[in-house]
Amino acid sequence: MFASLLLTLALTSALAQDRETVRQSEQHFARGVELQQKGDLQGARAAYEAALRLIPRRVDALSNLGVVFARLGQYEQAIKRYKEALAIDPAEHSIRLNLGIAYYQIDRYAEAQGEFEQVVKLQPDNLQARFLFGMCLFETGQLKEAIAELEKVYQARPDDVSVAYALANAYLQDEQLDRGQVLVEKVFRELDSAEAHLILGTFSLARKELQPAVEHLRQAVQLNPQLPTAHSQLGIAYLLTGNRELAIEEFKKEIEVNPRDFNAHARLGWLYREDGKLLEAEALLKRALELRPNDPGALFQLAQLVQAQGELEAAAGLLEQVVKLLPEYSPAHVLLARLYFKLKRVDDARREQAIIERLLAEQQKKQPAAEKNPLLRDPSERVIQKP
Amino acid sequence: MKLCCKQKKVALFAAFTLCAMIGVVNLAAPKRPHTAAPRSDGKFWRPARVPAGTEFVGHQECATCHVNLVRVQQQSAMGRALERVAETRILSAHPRLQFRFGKYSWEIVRQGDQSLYSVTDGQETITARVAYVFGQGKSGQTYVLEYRGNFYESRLSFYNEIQGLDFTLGHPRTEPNSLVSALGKLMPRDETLQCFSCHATGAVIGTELHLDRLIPGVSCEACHGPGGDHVAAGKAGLPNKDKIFNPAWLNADDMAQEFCGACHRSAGEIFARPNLDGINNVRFQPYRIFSSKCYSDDRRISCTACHNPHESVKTDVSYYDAKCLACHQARGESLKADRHAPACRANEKQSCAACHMPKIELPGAHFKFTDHRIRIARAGEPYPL
Repeated sequence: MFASLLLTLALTSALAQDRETVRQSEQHFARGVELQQKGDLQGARAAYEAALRLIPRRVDALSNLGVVFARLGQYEQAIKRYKEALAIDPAEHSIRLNLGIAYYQIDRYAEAQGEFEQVVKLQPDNLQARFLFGMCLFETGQLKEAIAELEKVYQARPDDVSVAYALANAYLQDEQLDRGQVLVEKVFRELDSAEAHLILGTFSLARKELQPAVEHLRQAVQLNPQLPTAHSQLGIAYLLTGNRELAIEEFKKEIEVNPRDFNAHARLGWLYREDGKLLEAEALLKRALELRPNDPGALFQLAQLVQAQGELEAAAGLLEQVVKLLPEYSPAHVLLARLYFKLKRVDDARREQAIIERLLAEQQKKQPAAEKNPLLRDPSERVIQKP
Repeated sequence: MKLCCKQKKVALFAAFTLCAMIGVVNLAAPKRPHTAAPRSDGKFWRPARVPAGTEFVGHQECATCHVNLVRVQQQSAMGRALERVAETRILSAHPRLQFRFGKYSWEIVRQGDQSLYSVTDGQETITARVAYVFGQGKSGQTYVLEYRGNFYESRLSFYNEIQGLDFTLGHPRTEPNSLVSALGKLMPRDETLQCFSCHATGAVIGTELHLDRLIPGVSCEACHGPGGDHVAAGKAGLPNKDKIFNPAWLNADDMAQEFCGACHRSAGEIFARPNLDGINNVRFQPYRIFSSKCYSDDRRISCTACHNPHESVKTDVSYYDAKCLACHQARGESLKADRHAPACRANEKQSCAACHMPKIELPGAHFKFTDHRIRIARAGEPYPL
């Protein structure tokens, strides 16, 4: 009887304690929500962590803490919280979506793609997930698949300029310039927004219509100087029109407003390398390679820079990476052969020369017949017009 | 949980916008050469890439000690790569040059120490001042025109072989669509810098054009770098050889591809071009020689093994035979350690270069260029890129 009474008392006390724990955790959670709404992210973080110390398996607190970390730019931490939340409740698709976004933000596109794909399978009408899935396919170079997904989203949301923009860019990358142009004309021609001028300028640039490209891109940066990639695209347009100094200024501005822009870092690094500003160039190219670790263009630029610094072995190593990624890129084979000669690796140099010879022969096959033999060219070219 | 969802929406919206704005234009084909930049320690010098703040002493100063060398170099093809209009020999010797194509007529007329380049379509005429003369005329000479505050590359050039005008290489050999395009091609800033950086000395410093400081042609300091320290040490009676850059310090490959190739176009630069510039790439010797089987880092295949940069190119092909025999055995000769390349099996009596470095005439160039891609050239074979 006494024992039974003790047990009852103990249980009652434990339940009371549990209720108190839940109450306190809820208080912390509510405080976290309030602070998060006010924009006090550090305060919200502390409150959610306090709530989780009391009840570690709170999916809502884990998820919100993940959002707070994401907003603080601490994506690895965010990913950790989202994963913990999903381990408890794998069916919570909104958290999976956020997990995908966190991966996306730090350029882990393959992992992001996996998460978005799961959401799309279970929620085929979730256009956000499908859009992001398409963007991941785009980022991982699966252009046809990306276009298929983005077209579905565009059909459902024909007025969404973001979707049209992404789809147009995918067409651009897939060299479907005509389809892209149709879309761009339809959606953006009448819009006088920075985004519209950016896409119009970007398309003009891809078509090598340099003057219209410069005009649109100038308007884009005038309308919104903070618009990501606009300065970078304008820089490229300036570079192609021979305005090197203006290009440098635009790349600098892009890096200021958009520190994650690959093109601005890679291009500016390249230009600085040419100008002999090797330290600045090195930092920029290394940053570009953080943004796109296997980009052969950035690797090639860095290899040339390292070569100029006299580090021949390191330069050869970088070039070996480039030719693995782009086996038919002759300039890399050329530089590699030259480096091997300097490193007294004559057999390797000769092997590279043989590769270059093969590539030249292939190029020769593609050469128009008239180019192969000047006597096959238009005879009128040889007629001298005497005064 | 409500806020959780709301927060997600905020995050999603941000991500959505971000995704939409991610740039996707790839790095376009580079316009500039892929050659290495100068080292900052001053021990490395590369033509056509003059660091900001560089000051040149001018070849007159060099001539106080190297009088003969400077005199000979100033008369060489490189020394005369650019002429001032007042001093141009060809335009002085041809005070009126004319050319006609379709409805357009061109005329370059000498007036005192100036030359005026005019074009008319029969109704209207435009005239531009010849600002600079590019090329000494061994093969041809092209003009930089000043028109309405801009530089234009003249649509017509003077060609030595015909002693007259014809279309400039690279310009369309078709009837121009306007008077201005008949005048020439507007030179973008970048291109202007490239032209002046190779054809003159001190005209491009950093990334700025300084025509007021221009020394015509490839002068001493274009290849040796600024001579101030060298001159000062010499005047003070101190050793001064290491106070100025000497391209002879370079290994053969760096000399060909990075030094001479800075202007004459390296293999890296040409390989990056679409279609490798077709047959026009015969003019780019560092590229052509790179594709030769015997190319290596050996000094015996370096540019200066055959060419003295202080003099004009020797035109006697037999002069070059000795250069080939620095590596190749003569027929019947016993094998030597430093001459391990095989003897010619075909025709030893004829000059090496005559067969193995054929002359190529570009359509419209009125000049035969020696192909520096050393090879067994067979009759009727396509031009090897």
